[in-house]
Amino acid sequence: MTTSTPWLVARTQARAGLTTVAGYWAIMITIYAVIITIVVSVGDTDVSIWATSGGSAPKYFLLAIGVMLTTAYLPGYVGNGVTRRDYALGASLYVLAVAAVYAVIMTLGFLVEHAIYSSADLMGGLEDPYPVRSLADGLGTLVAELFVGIIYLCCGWLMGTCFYRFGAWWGIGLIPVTLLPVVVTEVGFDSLWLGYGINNGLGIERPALAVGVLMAAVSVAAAWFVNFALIRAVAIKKVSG
Amino acid sequence: MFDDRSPIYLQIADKIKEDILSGALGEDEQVMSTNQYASFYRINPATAAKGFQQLVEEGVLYKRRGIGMFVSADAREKLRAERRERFFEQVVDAMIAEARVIGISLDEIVRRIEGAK
Amino acid sequence: MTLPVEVKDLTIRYGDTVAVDGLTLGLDGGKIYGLLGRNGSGKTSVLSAVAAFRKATSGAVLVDGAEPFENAALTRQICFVRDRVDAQDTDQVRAVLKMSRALRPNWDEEYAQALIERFHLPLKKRIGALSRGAKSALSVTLGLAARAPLTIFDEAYLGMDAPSRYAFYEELLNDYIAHPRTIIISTHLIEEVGSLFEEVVIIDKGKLVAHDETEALRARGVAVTGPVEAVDAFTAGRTVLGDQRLGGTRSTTVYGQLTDEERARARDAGLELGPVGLQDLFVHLTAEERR
Repeated sequence: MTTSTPWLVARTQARAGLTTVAGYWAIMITIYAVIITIVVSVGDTDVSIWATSGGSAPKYFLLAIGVMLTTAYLPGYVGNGVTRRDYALGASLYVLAVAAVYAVIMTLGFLVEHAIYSSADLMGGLEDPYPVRSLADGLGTLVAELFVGIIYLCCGWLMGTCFYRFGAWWGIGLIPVTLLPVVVTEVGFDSLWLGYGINNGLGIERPALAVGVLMAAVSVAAAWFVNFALIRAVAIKKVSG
Repeated sequence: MFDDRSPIYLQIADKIKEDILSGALGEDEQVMSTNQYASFYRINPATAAKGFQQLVEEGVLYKRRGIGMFVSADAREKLRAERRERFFEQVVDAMIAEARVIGISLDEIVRRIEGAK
Repeated sequence: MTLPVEVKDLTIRYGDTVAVDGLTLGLDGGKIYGLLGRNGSGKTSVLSAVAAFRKATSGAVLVDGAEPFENAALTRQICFVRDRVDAQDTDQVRAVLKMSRALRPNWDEEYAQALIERFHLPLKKRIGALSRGAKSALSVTLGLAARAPLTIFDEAYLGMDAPSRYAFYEELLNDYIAHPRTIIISTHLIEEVGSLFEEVVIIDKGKLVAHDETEALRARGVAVTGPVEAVDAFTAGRTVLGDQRLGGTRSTTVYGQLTDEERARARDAGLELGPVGLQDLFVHLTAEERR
């Protein structure tokens, strides 16, 4: 085989997920476009619309994509002669790609909105200062969103793996545990809105980017390795239905 | 096609012998390859091969390397001789035993045979 | 390329249930093997372990001399076909085929297309919308076109109607003849598929009951019919698989080959010796109670 199996898995997965991911963003951006048009015409807003809409919905989408990775796709790959290890590596590449797309779109969105707000003179009405004010902010956002994207995907993936391996009861019961890395990462980056909410509530200052990256890296590593370990020995069950 | 009465490979061998006796298969004529036979009758090729091998051992078929299996030149005569040998024991003696069981006299049988002459 | 399969003292447990109990079995490879066993006999578990779909609780599973679990070099040569496809209900048939085409090293696209036509598989339909027969047909199509050196069909044609099943047997046999490999077929429809098997393995309650060339196994069953006392006298001391009685006549099925001398004795005693079909033999060998 000229192409390594993990790359093959990543490509196959990308092809399989392309319509879903592209479709989601197309819808999200369209809705945003409609909202922002209305806001501009109204002429006043006290929040960043992009931050509001991007603060939770896309993350749940990533979580859902993650959950499906094991439950929907693992049996198919093993059924086609791929080892769980190669599948996990390939799917990880796919996760990076999806997270990268998320991070880039989120960052670009802020930049675009920043431009819109400035030209439409909406900056004045904002309650808090605009989240992304400079290029440095932009890069910081890119890094943060990349990690946030990865962690939501990884934790969703871990959640799905728990369901597949341990069944529905344990799957549900373990949800709080599997979401812990998400919380840590969000807190580390003071992300809107979960991290921000927690930090605000507890009176914690926004951590430095380096601290955030460290917390995120540890979370991703933890979630990824546990997921990998659980996948490696899981039995492929009979297809039902 | 094939039943449980005896091993399938023997049934295959018997079938081919029948074809030779009836003239459907001529001497030095090539027979179907074991794979063709297996495919045609939907049986495992190893079983077909075993049947053919049986016939090779009995001298009914011979193999030409790289070409295939052929009916031996004296196959028909050989088989007829075999059948002739068994005829009296398997057919005639059995008929006599059956006649005794159901109460037919040997004279009746002789008369019947005379009639067919 | 054919792969031998060996299973040594294999045990598979699901919680408290022992599905496979110290099973030892060796298949040389390059043949069509029949695997017979009742529901719950453990045969699917054995096949799952051989296909690296699950790990054994204890014991060894060896394909071509090495453990297949998480062994990429081996798993890509093994294809485990069940009666349903491992895909989501929302996937289209052609998407499923595309995935196998991308991942299976020996995939034959032309052959796959021919099979799709033969089984009338609707390429654009979604898996969830397929009939049970179509799902099975898709499964066996994937299994055949993958041309894996070790291909396992685990009751893969359960949902298919008789004409489709016979089409499958034909395709399987012809492709096996053209591309020899190790094929294991697990089935209930013994009389339908029996003629395809070169060797037969019978598993019951997680243990090996029989493993032999098909003909040899068939020959091991004899139905002895005749007057009750004569039959009893003849079958005394033999392994009896089952028997039936109608008035003064008894028909006993025994296990074990008879010598020519024994056959002559039976005939002299006025007993009729009949063959036992593979299906009947299987039923008797795996029956609940045995004398």
